[in-house]
Amino acid sequence: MSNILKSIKLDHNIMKSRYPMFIIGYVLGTFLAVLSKTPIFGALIVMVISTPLTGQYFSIYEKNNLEKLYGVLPLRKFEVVIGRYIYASCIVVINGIIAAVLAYIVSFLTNKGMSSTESLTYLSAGFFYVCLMIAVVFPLYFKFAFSKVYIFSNLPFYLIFILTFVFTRKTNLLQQTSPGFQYLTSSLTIAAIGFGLGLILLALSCLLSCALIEGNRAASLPAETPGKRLYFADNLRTWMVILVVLQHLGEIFGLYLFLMLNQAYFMGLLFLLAGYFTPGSYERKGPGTFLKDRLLRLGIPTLVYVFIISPLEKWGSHQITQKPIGNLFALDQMWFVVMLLVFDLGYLAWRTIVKNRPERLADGAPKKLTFPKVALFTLALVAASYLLRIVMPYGIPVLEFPSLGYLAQYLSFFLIGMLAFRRDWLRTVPGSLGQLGFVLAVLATVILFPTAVFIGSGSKWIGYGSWQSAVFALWDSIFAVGISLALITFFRRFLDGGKKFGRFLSQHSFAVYVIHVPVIVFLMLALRGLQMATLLKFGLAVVVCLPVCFGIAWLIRKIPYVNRIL
Amino acid sequence: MNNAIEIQNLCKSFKDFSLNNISFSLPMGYIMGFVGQNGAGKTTTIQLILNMINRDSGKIKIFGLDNVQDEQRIKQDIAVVFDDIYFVDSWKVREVETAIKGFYSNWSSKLFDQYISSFHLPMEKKVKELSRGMKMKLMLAVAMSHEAKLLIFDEPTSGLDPVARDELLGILSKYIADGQKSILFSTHITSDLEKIADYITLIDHGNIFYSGTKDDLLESFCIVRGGPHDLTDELKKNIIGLTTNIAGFAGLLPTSKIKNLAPEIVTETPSIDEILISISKGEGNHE
Amino acid sequence: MNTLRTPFFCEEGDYILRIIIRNTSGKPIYEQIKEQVKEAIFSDELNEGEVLPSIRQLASELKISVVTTTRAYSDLEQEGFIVNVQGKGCFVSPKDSELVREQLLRKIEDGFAVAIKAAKIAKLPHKELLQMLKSMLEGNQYE
Repeated sequence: MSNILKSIKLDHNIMKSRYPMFIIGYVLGTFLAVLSKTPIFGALIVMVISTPLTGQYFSIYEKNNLEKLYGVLPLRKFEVVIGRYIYASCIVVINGIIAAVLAYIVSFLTNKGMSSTESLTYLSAGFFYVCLMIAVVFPLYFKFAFSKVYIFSNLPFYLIFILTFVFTRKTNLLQQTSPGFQYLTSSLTIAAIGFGLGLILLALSCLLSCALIEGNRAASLPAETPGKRLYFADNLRTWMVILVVLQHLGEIFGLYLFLMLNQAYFMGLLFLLAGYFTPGSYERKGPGTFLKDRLLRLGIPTLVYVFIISPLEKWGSHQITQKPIGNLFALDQMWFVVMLLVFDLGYLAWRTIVKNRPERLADGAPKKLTFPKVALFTLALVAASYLLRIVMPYGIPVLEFPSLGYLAQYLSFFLIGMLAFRRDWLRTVPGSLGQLGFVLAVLATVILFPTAVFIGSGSKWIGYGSWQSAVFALWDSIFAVGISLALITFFRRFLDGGKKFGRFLSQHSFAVYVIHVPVIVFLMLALRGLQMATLLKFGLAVVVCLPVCFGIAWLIRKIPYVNRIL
Repeated sequence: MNNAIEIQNLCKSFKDFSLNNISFSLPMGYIMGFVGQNGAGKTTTIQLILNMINRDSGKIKIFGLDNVQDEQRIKQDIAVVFDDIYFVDSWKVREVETAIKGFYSNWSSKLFDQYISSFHLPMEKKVKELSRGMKMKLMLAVAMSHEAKLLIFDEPTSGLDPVARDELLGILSKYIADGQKSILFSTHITSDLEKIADYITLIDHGNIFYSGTKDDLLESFCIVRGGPHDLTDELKKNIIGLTTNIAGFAGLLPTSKIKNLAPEIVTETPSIDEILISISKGEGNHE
Repeated sequence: MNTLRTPFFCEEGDYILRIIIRNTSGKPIYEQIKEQVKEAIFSDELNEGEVLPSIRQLASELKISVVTTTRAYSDLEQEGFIVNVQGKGCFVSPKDSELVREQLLRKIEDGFAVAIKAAKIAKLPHKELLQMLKSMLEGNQYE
């Protein structure tokens, strides 16, 4: 990555004539610090002012035809972008550190100012804010000429900053704690969130800028050649839907261990498979048809479920059992469809902004999936899940989404699915990796799962930043990745045939997903008189429910026009 | 690998302009003049070679390597001089070297200093204080200081006085004397190329009109002039860029069609300028 | 107009090769080079075995295209006036080679043809023409 360093050095050479401008920030900062008797605010101002100054780079770029310089130098475009982001962050951070140190010295000497916790909070909020500014403004600068954009890009941020600043000072917002923040006792956590989120924003913005700057490339071929349909992927999807049905049955029977193990991976894998088929579908259909298709095939079943199937089922079971009706118009398992629709729309938006860029096919050496990459991804997922569960713990439903604690996994698996399409990983991932994944998943379950759940009092493992939550995140990420790899390689090896029965099942799997809840409920109500051992009854339920579900799905799909949607 | 540049069926379209199936090659060790009107597609082609914009289709090979996949390797050995300077104007001449040299593994500070002194460029002056000719010489000094095997010039002499232009041509012919270096020289001032270019590629409205040796080009066409009565129908069909007035007509004719001309018609070797003017006038006349 | 009056160094010592390119002569540059090299050979300015400037050297000095000088030299080689020794350069051929002799004979014929044509226009009888030739030969015997 020495090229990135060289790019940073070049940025420095280009900007150095403008360094004196940073004095403005220090002047204003000193002024404000004196005014508010709080030196740390001065540091904040320095950081905030130095941010648009990093945008000056783009002004110099435009005035001096530097796109020609960069066109000539042996630098890759993304190296330039990454270097620019790092350079900008360094400038801001260095200025922030200098200012903060000065502020601390002054504060120490004059005994004025605020406590270190509060200061750290403000600093991390300031850092986050600065990252937000850069993250929003830089892609604009990369895409458009500086002179056209700079007025619009910076003004809103100044307004927001001033308003927030005044507001928080006036109402001392930090003293009031919202329910979620009860658990944020440690200032280090606050700092971690502020800095962490800021860095994540920067990374995302950097990716966007890289994509924008690449522009159109030579046309690529879709990775899925016709006739080579991945039957094992379809079969895997069928199996996942069957597991969904089993999951809901399991809820009725209270098989908690089974439920938790399932929960850890099966929706994620469904997102991965969905993500795998999305780019190809987009490229085959084009943006307009893709949008229509998704709204039709995902939106309409959701609406039908929420407004027709769900109330019918709730009302019907109320009639039979006289139990109180909960929510008539419930989302239930369709949350997956809604989230998938949101992801797909996000992908559509991305492709539209990045101007229909067909991504590179594996030209030359296809980037294979190797253990180090998988391990790295898993660790990142652990961190993301742990952080996410500080505010959105496991098992606590949010807005009818029952498992938002897994959002990190769902989103990342969806993205991995798309990446797998581009790099043909489903076909090329080595069987040994699948076996290794399985072994590690089992080991993790045996070692980590009990540690997280059973050690310590209460349900610390569900989130809020406890160490048990970290171990739990470690477990379920390893388990999800490992089992997914294992299942993919297993199905590819043993269940890849396009047999009629398999194809029948996979064709109806989405319909089953939509309609299985009322089927299960009524079947179970029918069987409720039967006295049996739990597991035995569960087995019976499975044997009965699955064929009935598929049968009803088949009947429904026979209705004209329905098979276009389901 | 004998070709410094090899372009096959390059296509790129914009809203109101497109390059159509551009193909030409520059063998190593020679100078190619890339000639055409303003807006014919010269700068676009160069930008495509440098991967500053992405092509729609076709192949571009530099030193036998694909210009996109091996972009970094190739650019170590390419140097470009544009019509406008692309250094930060607040840099001093000395600072230009500091900023650039880290990127090239073959950079020679000694060479750079030699060129700077032989061009009489003051080290301490800022880029914005240099005259147009000195700016071009600075770009040239940078270009020649890292053993670049391919020099690309995009209209480097526009705005230069004839003395500076002549100096430049002298420098260039010395640069390729060892047979290992090649030059692509895009310009609409064709007099620079009349003698020094080995190959000429003529581009007109996004299409290649001719690509080959300059000598062949000048032998393949003739300027024909005659009286108004000498203009036969057959001649009208074959002539390119026909102009008529009360005293007669003139135009460009491929040499292959000269055999049956009446003896009163005057023929002479064209200059590259005249070829360029004729083809831009007579767009509909040839294929 | 480009004049080449450049010393070309070789092992034997310095010498000067005179090539003048006329930009406006209408004759292709390679033709001009060929002619002038041949002239230099015929008039003993260039002696056999002497080394000529390399193709690229010549192009660089005259500020003309390398392709042009290449063509001139290869034509000269084909016609037998120079020899290209791989790795060493181009040398003037011995003057009594067959091809050179042929060229010289043709030159003599051309000269005679011009003289005969002029004699016809002047209505000079053949006898007087031959007389003129004889006296010129005798006069220029020891040139």
